[in-house]
Amino acid sequence: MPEKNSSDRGLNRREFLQAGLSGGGALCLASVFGCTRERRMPKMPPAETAQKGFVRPIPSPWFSKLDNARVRCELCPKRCELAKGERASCQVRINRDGVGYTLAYSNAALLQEDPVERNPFFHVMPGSRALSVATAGCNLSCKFCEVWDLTQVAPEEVHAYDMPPEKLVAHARAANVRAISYAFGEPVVFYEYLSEVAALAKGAGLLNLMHTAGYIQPEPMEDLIGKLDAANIDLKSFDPAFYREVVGGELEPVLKTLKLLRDAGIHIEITNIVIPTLNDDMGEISEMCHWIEDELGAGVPFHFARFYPLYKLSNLPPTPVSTLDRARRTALEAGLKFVYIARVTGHEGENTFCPVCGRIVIKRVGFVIDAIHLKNGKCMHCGTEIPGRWA
Amino acid sequence: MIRRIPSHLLAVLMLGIVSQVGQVVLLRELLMVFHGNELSIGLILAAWLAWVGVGSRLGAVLVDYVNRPLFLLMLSAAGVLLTLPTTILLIRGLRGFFNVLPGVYLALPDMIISCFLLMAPSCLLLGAQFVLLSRIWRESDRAEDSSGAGKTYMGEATGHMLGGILFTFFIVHYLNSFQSAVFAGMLMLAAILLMTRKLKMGATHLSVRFRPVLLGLLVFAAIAFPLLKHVDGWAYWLQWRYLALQHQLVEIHQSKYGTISVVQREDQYGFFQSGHLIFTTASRETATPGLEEQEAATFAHLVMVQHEKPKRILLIGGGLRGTLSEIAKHPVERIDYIELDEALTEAARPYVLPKTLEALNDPRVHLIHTDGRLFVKAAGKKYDMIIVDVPDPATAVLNRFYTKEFFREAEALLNPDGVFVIGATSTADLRGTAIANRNATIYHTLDSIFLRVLPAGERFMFYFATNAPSQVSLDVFILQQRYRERNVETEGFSHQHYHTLLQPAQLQRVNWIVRNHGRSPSAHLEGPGPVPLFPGTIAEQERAEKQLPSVEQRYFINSDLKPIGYYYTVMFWDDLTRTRPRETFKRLLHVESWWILPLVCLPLLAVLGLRMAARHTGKRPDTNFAVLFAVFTTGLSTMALQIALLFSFQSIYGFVYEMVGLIVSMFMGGLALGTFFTHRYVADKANLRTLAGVQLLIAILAGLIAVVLPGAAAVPSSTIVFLLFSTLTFVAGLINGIDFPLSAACCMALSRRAEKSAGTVYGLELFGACIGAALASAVVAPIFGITACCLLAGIANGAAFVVLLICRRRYA
Repeated sequence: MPEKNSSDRGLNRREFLQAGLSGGGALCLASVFGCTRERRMPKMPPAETAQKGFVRPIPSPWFSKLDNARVRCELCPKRCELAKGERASCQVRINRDGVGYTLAYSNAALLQEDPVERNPFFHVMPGSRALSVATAGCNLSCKFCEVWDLTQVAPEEVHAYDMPPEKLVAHARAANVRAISYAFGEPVVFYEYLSEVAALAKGAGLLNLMHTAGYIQPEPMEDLIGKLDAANIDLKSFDPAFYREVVGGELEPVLKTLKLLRDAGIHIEITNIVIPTLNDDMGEISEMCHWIEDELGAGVPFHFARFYPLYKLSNLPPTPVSTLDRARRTALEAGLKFVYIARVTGHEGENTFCPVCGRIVIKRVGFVIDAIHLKNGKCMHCGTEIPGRWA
Repeated sequence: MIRRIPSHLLAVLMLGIVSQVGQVVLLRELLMVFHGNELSIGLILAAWLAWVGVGSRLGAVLVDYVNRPLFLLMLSAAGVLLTLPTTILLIRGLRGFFNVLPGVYLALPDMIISCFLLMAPSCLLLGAQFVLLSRIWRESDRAEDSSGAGKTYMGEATGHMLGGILFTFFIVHYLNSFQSAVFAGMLMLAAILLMTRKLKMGATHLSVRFRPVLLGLLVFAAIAFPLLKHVDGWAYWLQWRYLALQHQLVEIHQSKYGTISVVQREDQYGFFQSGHLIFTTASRETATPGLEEQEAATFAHLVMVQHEKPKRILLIGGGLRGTLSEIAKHPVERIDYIELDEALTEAARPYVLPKTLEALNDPRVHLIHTDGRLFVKAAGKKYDMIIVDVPDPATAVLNRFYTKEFFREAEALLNPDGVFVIGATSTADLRGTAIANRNATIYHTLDSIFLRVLPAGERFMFYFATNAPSQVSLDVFILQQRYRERNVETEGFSHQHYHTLLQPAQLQRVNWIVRNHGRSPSAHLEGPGPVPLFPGTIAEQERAEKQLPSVEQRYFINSDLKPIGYYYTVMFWDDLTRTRPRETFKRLLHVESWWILPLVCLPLLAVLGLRMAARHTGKRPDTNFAVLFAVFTTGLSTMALQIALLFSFQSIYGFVYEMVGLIVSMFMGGLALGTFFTHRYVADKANLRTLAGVQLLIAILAGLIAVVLPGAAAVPSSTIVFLLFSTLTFVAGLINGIDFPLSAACCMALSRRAEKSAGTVYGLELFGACIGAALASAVVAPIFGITACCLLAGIANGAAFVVLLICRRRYA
């Protein structure tokens, strides 16, 4: 079901006032300042040079053709229908002369080496390093986005490295990392790029890790599964209204993605940022954890991350640590076995505990591994198997 | 002969008091809802001035039409008594109206719309009252000229001055917003009742009948006055429902610097000043105090290891959130802790953790309530570390902690191997132009004073600056060693945290950005350049930096007289709050000094064109235009000068609430006296030559201020600084005061309608002030500098002088 446009719901009070008072002015100003994104699109840069606004548009197979040269993007549940020259809300998918293009291809705006724990994977090759990659754009608009200056902008507005798939994989091999992690930005919007890189990386013996909001249509997700090794899905809330008002999407497609990954046997971890007053209701958290336990299994690592005031929620206090503790207890009571606290460095909840003997299997301080008591994926104290990608 | 005191004088004075109190109360209330940056302050002021101006013009039309000035005055006074508190109530519920999520700031369009809509009723009524009182005064004098307007102007200015003093020294300490507004409204009602006590039935029939209504209203307001405490409490509760949903509002403290609110959620207390989150602390019941206040611990322990053996510390701000107690865990001998607002400390005391209370009682800790800059100027002591933990430079007042002058003053207090630390909000990779500009500006400004500056951080960027390069470091092992040696025992932080805080790749990227950004003429528009895949180690970058082109001083050095820092902070706030791509603030950065030319040329062309067009008609549209243009420029200039003087005073003298209040009152005092002198000693007021002379005087004064301001910082005595700024502000007000009756008389001579002239001149002057406030605070001061505000004023009034000279011959 495509997301309803805000105009479908009618005007709210703010929109009514704004429309009434600023409509005329906006019409006048539009003629002065208005310029389409298309006009601002820069030319191709010389190879090897990172450049502001560098794009390498390629036609995408994830568009279906409609009447009057319109196209529909089939990548994410929003299924944006685009007229000629129009751009999708994710800012990277566009209709050029009746053909759907992606502008998020080979133009990595974020390229950095990180501990795999930062991506954040706690059950994948602990202590190893991954090459994180992301482009501009996002199909959601979370008001608490940490990388809003990357995701809430068009590719033309950021610096990007000219990194075709082959070059990116060569770069990863030269850096001697264990994995490529499609993280920090939203991988769904650079799906075509991700898909090609992942295929090459797999061939080169690198792991493919994806940290995503999971807001994607089942078909493209299924196509990707063969190339993926692990996914960390941001399950931002278990309340559909929260998804609509704070995230700008729907909950149901995310749950579908999780089930799809489960069916495919991909290692899943889940991250949930606990935001005071907005999604910190323990009843809701309990419901979410029970669903995970029932549908995905008790062994799915679950990360509760502390919210700090930022982006549009700059005036909201950080999550009380006690709320995170309660959330963790709730999740453990719901039956989840590996529940973590993120962004409270030094918290006991950063460690992996053996669900059987209760002793520490992996001791962490932030992203730093302090000690590992794990052998061949099993607790060294009692031999219990710990789920994950350990080799 | 004993001169009779006119019965309406008290009402005129009260109009000034109500206006002043109403303006300050609404400003404080709106800042609780808006982001408290310089833009919102300017916007609120501009809305106030614009509506009062419109009100005076409408009042002039109305009084001509209805011809019952006294009755209208009674109605409008009753209206103000009702609209002011109602407006406060509406402001408290504003977030609920817009239905914004907790923690979300209103965006610029919402701010503009709500500000202008909410201010309208009270301001229109107050503007109209000016014209009504002018008419009453004129009729009482049995005069046909504009003298009534001049006298009202003088009385109102005096009222403004008294209102300012009353608010600064009394109202802010004892009354809440509703009480303040109702108290001021009651004063006005009482004055009108007093003024009308001898009215008899007859021509003023309606007024006599309405008098009991006013009396009833006054009695009702007096009876209801104690209940306003509860209304205030309920309205705060309503406001906090939308500000921080599901947080319990524990306490509200009124401080002269803004309302302090303490809210609780679970075992966390949040402290808000003027509606803005300033810090959170763990409650005493918390099981994990160290983790709850981890940010403070992280701040303290990352900062303190930047010096090998810090003994004497100066901490400006931030101590209550847990930083002070963590700093005190290091083996230091003395910590001077500066906090501006005593009310904040008192509000926090009952709630902060015992370790913070212990730190406050630690004999090594000296808590001083004063302005940080004022303290640094006069400290006369030496420190090993100066740590500045104040909010981002969102206003001119906060920007004073990020300027070259402040860094130089701080450097003078440091021992030779001392370290200066300051920080600001950041993003992980500084992608946005606004944040990159702002944070690179802080770096370059520090770098212009200190030998070595190291920036570090993701969500928050630290700057470690020193003249002893080996002192500061981003090397995890060095910092860990220093930390271990001190045997600091703390919860929520360990030596391992340094690894998480100082990720080499991220450090290298942000270092590359702030060091390389700001070195081309268009860097402020284009944002930072592309970071190389391998930016190099910090040491390599420091070596390479010597070969880089020099920094663009105009856009990347923040100074007292060119506070570009707050402009970038406003720009960053716009990035955070806007809902659609919009580059308003970036476009404004394109502004060039020659853009002033139209302000000079267009009026000249207009006046010449009007002269040509009306050559054979016998009318004088050019003269009319010239007079109105002079009125507009006077409003614009005096506001630009006031802003220039106030900004510089706060930087050079220090921010002392009462002193700033006195400086503002000086302007009003000058205004009143100037009007008085003109009335008393200028016989021929409707004289273009005299009016032109006053324009020239304003232009000369503006030029003089432009010359004096840069040198004022060198004045060693704070008393002389205060006297200097008082005098300059007073003179600016004085000339403005001289101008008004002259303009009103000229306008009257042209239109032959006293109230119409008064309304037009008053309204246009306020409109000019509105444009002046917006131009000076939002664009000219931060981008061109405070001296440019004076030059703008000088050029504007110089143009008015020339325009008046052109018209002079035909009319004089």
